[in-house]
Amino acid sequence: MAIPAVIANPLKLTGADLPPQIVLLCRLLALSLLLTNHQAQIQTPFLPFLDIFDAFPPEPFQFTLRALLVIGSLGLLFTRNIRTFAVVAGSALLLAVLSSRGYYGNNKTFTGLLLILSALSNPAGPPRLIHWQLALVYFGAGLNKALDADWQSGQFFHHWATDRLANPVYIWLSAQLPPLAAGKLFCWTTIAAELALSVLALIPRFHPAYIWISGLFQSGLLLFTGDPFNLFFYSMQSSLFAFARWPEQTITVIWDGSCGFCRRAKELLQTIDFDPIFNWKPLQSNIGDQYGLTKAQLKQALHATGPGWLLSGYSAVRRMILHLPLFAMTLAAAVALSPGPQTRRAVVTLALLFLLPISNPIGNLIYSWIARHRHELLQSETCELPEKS
Amino acid sequence: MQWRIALGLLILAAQAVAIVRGRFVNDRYFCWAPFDQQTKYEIRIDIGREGLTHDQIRKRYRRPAEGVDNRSAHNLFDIITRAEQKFEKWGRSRVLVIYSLNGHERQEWRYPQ
Repeated sequence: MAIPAVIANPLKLTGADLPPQIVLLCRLLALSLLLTNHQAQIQTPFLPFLDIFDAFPPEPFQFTLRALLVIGSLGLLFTRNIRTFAVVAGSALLLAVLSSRGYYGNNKTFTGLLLILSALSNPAGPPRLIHWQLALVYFGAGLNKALDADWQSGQFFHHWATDRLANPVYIWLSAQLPPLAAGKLFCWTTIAAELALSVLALIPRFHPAYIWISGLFQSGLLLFTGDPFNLFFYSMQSSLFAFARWPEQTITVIWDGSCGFCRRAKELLQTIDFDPIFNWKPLQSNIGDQYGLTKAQLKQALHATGPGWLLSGYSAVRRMILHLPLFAMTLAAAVALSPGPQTRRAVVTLALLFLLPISNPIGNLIYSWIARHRHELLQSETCELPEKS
Repeated sequence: MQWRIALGLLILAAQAVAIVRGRFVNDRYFCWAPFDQQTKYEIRIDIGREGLTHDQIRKRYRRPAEGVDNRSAHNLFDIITRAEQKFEKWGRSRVLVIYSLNGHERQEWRYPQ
């Protein structure tokens, strides 16, 4: 029986009426909403921001919003109608916020707005509405802190880190410095980072810097507290994809066609590359000539290349993994399903180690060992491809 | 396509207005001021001669009777004020909130003020 055209593979980003990175952003939000069972938090109307919500029968209203959130999230994950279901899920969240001061929260409002603005984005080109949304969020947060006396003096951070979190690193650092100096340092670093991010979000040439600074800032917050702050961590990290430049052409991957282990690895990656984004070329096809690469260089390591960049070995593999939606979805799921703060911290730490250049020495070491021994691994499947002269 | 952009800009403009409004009001709703204040609080409430239990307070305000809120303390005062104005017809209550902001000395807030 044929699968209806509307049904989509959650790991295939193309084919919707939105840029692939916006599809991924929406699907990550949907996954987080479902895995954290967020619908259970939606309340009956309570001291609503708009009086009209008092007119609705409470339980049916609550049930409807919960149902819409689940339907919207499932629709985002498993259909191509991203716009429709982003409006459904986003509206459910925003209506829940507006109908109850008990449910109100910045993280829920932000997630709802992110979904609605995704639905309003153009089918192609940069999602400017989302860039401006992030600029507003960071500007509002930075401004409010900068004008608050306890943030100016460092008292907020000192009290939070010492009395609330009992963070041993902060307590030690604070003891080495004059009173409130550590608090002031952290408060003003936060304010400076938030205000700087509000500017970086608006200037396209600074978007790579925005991705790194915002990603590290939000990860640092989770590592410090162990807390994703309800939906905040997921929505802030997912929104980074709106600033990423998604490859418009396929990524050419040059691999050793005579190696059984390499073939198995290639087949595995092809299995999860549903769009597909990788164009696999064996080094024996003389493809290296186009990039000025010798056979000897190509035999040492796998190479991946796209417009304006060429990477080899561990760095190439890392870039390839980053372009697979499965990677971001697995990370979001691992954080959402973590049983406690320590597991969450461990997941985020491992992700950062993988993403940051700090992992290059060990990554290169492991890659080099595998590359040197690749003909011994899966030896029975090794064969020689005829080389073009 | 233009209407989508226009609607998006309207949504963003409303938030910009809320950020400006946030400078002139205490409640800080919708002005992107998350996690800017640590409010440690305890709510006590008497209706007539009866004091409410922690469970009853949680049901009344949808907030724990005591705890720490990561938002402006005025969010809590706003919820109590609105809830009491709503429930007033079933009996006048007296609410006392003992609270401390960012580790400073304890203060009291009362309804009715």
